[in-house]
Amino acid sequence: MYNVIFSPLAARIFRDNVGYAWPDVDIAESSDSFSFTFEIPGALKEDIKIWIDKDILTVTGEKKGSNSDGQKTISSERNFGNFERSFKLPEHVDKNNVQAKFVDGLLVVIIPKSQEAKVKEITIN
Amino acid sequence: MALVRRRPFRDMYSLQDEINRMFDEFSGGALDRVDKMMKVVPAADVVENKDNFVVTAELPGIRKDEIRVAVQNNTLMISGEKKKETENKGDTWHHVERSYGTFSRSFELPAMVDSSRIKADFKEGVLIVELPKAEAAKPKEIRINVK
Repeated sequence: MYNVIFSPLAARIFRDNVGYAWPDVDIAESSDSFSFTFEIPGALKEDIKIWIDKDILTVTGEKKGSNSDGQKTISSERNFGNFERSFKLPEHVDKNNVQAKFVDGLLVVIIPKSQEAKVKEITIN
Repeated sequence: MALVRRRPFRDMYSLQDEINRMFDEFSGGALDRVDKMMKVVPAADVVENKDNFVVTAELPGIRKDEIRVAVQNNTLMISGEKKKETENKGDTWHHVERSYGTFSRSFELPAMVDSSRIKADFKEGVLIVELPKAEAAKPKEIRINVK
């Protein structure tokens, strides 16, 4: 199921009714790029994969739990296991210059707009 | 065999309920629900081993100095504030699932802890608090010599 970038409401209801799309993500647009910020605390950088196929951005990975012997679980709320989220990207993005970083449990993917999509300021004479 | 009352229209009623609920979500009801969903409640696991209780809380994107960890008797309190990262004025938010704001959680542990030896560590958005059990709360092994 794709979260179409410009219809957040649909995605919300989908998430609420069909259980759970995780990790949580915020999507923002600046004048020259789109940014996706995922919360994946406790995951390892090498367990996360990001790719773009045509106009679909997909983030997959696995969050492994540390299960040591001789411990008893009192309460458990954190999500572990495999995850996958896909997003339809708008047209006019520069797929060749996507950047990603993983810091403080946040995965930030920055997708620059292509030249024609950038906001051009026009001076009025 | 138990008698079950036949309710041929039950499924239809429940569908009606479902439709009503959907319309509620689109009107006022949605705001309440969204409000609840937006509250910051860091997910946490609590485990116990022979010597310690270990509380692991997920606090992605939060700075170490914005987290307060406190213990009173056998209750651990974790509080702080989760702020939006660098926010540029001109940005348009297309989709927001992450929640921001102050948070506070308390965990009552099932036994007394030794508050002088509690260790807290924060790495990659995960807070791990290790609370050693008080001597009196540890399981004691009593050796019985069989003569």
